[in-house]
Amino acid sequence: MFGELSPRWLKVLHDLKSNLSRTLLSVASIAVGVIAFGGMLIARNTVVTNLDLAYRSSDPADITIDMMPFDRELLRWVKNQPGVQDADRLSVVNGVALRPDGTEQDVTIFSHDDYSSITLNRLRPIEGAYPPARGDFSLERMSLRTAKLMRGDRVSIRLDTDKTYSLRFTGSLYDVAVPSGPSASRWNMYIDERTLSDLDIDVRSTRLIVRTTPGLTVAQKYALADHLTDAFIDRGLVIRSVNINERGEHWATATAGGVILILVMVGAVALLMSGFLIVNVVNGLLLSQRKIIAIMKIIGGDREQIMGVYLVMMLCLGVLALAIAMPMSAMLGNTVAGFIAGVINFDIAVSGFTPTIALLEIAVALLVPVAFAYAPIRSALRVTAAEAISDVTPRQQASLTERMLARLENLPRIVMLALRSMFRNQMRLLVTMATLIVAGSVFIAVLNLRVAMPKTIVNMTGMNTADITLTLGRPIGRIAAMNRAAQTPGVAYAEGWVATSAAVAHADADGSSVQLNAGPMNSRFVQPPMEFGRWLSPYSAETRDEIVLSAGVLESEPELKLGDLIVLRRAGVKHTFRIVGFLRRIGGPDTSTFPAYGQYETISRMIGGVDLVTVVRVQSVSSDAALINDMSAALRGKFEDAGVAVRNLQNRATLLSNALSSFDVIITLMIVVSALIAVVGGLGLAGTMSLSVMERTREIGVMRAVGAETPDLHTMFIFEGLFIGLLSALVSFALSLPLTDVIGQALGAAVRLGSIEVQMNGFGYVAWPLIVSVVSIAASLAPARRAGTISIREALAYA
Amino acid sequence: MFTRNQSAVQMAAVRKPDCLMALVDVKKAYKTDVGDFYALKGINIEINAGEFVGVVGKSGSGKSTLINMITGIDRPTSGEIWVNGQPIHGLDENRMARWRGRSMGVVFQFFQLLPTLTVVENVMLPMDFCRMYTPKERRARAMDLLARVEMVEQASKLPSQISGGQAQRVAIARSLATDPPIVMADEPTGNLDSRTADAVFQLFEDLVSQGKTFLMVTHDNELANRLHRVITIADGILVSDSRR
Repeated sequence: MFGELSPRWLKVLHDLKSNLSRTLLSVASIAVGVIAFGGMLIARNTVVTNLDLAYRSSDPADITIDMMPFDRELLRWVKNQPGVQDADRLSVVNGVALRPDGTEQDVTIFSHDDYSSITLNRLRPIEGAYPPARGDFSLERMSLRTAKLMRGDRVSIRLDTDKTYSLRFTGSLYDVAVPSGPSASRWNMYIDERTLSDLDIDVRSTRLIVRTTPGLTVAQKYALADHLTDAFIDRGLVIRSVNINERGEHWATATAGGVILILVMVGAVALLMSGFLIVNVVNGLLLSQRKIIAIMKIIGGDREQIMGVYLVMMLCLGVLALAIAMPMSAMLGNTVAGFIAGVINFDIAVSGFTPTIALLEIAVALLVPVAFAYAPIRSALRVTAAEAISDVTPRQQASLTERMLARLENLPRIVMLALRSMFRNQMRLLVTMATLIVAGSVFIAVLNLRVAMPKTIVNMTGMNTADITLTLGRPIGRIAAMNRAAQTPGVAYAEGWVATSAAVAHADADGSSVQLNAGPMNSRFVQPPMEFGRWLSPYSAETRDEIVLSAGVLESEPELKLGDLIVLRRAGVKHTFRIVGFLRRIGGPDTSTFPAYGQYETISRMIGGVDLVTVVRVQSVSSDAALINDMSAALRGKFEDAGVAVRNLQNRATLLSNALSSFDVIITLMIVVSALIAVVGGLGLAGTMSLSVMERTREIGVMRAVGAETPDLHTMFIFEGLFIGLLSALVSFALSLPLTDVIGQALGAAVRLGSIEVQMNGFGYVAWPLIVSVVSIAASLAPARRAGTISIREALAYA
Repeated sequence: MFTRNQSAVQMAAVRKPDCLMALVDVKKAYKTDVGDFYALKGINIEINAGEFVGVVGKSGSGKSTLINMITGIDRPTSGEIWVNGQPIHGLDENRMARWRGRSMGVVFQFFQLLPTLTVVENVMLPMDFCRMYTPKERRARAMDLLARVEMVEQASKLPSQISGGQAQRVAIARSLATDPPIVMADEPTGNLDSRTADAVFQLFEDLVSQGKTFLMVTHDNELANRLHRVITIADGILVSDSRR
């Protein structure tokens, strides 16, 4: 079959065939790295390409202006402005839906006057009726996932007017322009203009969307937005918010890019780890061919020729690995991309497995084994033929570790042997442990982040750690409100707050919207995460006008700074505050209202009197979900019975789980990757243990000759593997904290959370040693079994 | 190239027209915990073309070390080794490998065939490494050499599928692959039964009669009696050099 090849290339092929398990181990070692690295690159490419495709195919708008209701004539005027390619309008209303099971759900209701003529931010029908008929509504497909409604189900909608309307669910659609995903706690509903009118809402639109002419710079887009808003203000329209998509990309592009970058980096680490594996396997191969190399030298093979033999062998292994890795990396990449697509809400229309990635995989599969094997091969060739063919092993000085271990005398004999053997080849030990250490550190760090995340989210979302938060339909007296809350079974503690919305008042028009909150000075539900400045001081004549703003407001009001006076307009009246601090911001690009905190006495007076309450925050006696649900219903009843409508009821556990689910996606992905690295680590350990058995064949014979039984040998090698695993776990512990910080920073930046506090998760620290023990024992089983089959005769004949 | 203290006699020996190989004051020391141990303590030997030389001595006398010096597998601590007018003690390992491949065939006690190559491929390998003959000629020449050692029928077998005597025949065929003028053999019959050993020895005699120079380490006195010349080594010193 290989008749035409030179004997030395035949040797390569025969060697690969003759030790199939070693060949498979080598191929697996290379393939794992290529699969992880290539897979992550494919995932990245697939996500980026399809996200952009989804965005472009919707004819996206790049300026969004929310304002007071405006009429069709204004839209015509906008369309004629220079720099405007196209413009469209729609209505956006916030409300609350009552789910069939009685729980509440915040909703954003979108209404178009004519669904058939939408030209920007196009919607795509998914199933059921489209467009929604009068009295019906459609749901965005992501909202439908959590809503679990059947077509024909009726849902009650309550708007700010406190009136309730019943609408019928008739179909779902895909809206690429609205942020969704598991972290989005709102449903996105779509209704007809006539339905909007039935809901007693002004049918004139409140959102203007504009597509600028291609080629406009960011500065020109801003200038156009300024031109438009100036004109609207001149016409007496109040602007609520202006959003400019500077880079012209999908809302999730930056976040997805950040997350995937982390995954690609982890893929690269896996590739590096697979390189270490290759080093191990090659060392084993070279050790077993020590004499053969000498013979080749003796019969005339020079260094380059013999090196060529082994490098070509590495290339062959790379080709074999590639055959497995290419399809598998595509599978992994598509699975990861599909997972992310499901979370971010877009479809995968084209594969990201491009010829460039295929070429990259080919290069990596061929070059990585050659590059990593080069040094071991070179050093094996440096051994002279005389050394290689002599049966005498050169004497080596015992290392410091070996001398220290020699002092351990009270351990069981087999355990002691295992412990001492593991430090014999310290470089190999380090290489073997490196992979396990990386896997362990990533695993523990990711689990640390899993507990750090909720804390970070709690810190940042609404500064509210209350179990239940009720927003009342009108202000009532604080004492009465506290009494009602205290009478409800299960309530451990309650606080009365005031909340009202206001806008930053500029000389010419209103700026950003703020949600102004105030509560007791020593609130138990607030731990302000300050970005800079300080929290409010106790109320006095000097501190009555203090205010703390979310740092997010700086995006639209960049001139604000500590110590400045800021004028807020509420219900037509202006109030002046002094900025004493900024809170860290949270949230995606859709946040248009920013939280602000003032003195309770001041804000209470702003809304009409002393000691008023519009929000009741409650702590439950236990964190039991069922109890909290019962309590929610009872609290609502208490207030409604007294004639006070409850506009909104928030359950913290639900909010948190919604927010966390998006992180869980990332965490799950990273745990999968660390598992992959652990597999690589296990393969490496298996290789090292096989080498260890091979090197000590003669020693095993001697042990057998002096009475060691097969179970003794099994135990010795399994313990050796186990010790390597456990030692790596100890190092992982040490590295996990800085790694948590590094990944936390990167993730925080990716999802715009800012830095994430490092916290330790005990589970990771207990689970990893157990996992690594199982991996180590599994990796040592086959080598240990091999050691058990070596006979004295075979061992002593071994040269 | 010559060291200053080299005697004129030695230089003359190196330059003798029929002298194929000369060892000049070859010493080999191994480092041990208690100081240097000399395996060879200053060996001077000249070997002429066409000789069939045996090196005998007890275990540990230094005879294998001597063979390793001549083949260039190991290098002397001091002294010079000249083969075919070329000073091989000065070659680096890579050049040594290339020189050895073309100039010297080596036969080992334990045959040392590459286990994953067939018999004929083992014989072709030195020609491949030394870039001698075309690929087609290599196979033909290997088959021809196998015919000389009566191993043609086993040509496509793996070394594990043939007997010890057969493996040694293949090793001899391999040692002749590049048509070297000299063949070195380290206890080539040491691992064979007496009948097979005799056949192998007969093969060596045939090769010598065809003009090859043979140097063979042995501790088989019976075989030693059949050699042209016997060099006896004891404790690293040449104690006798007898020609018959």
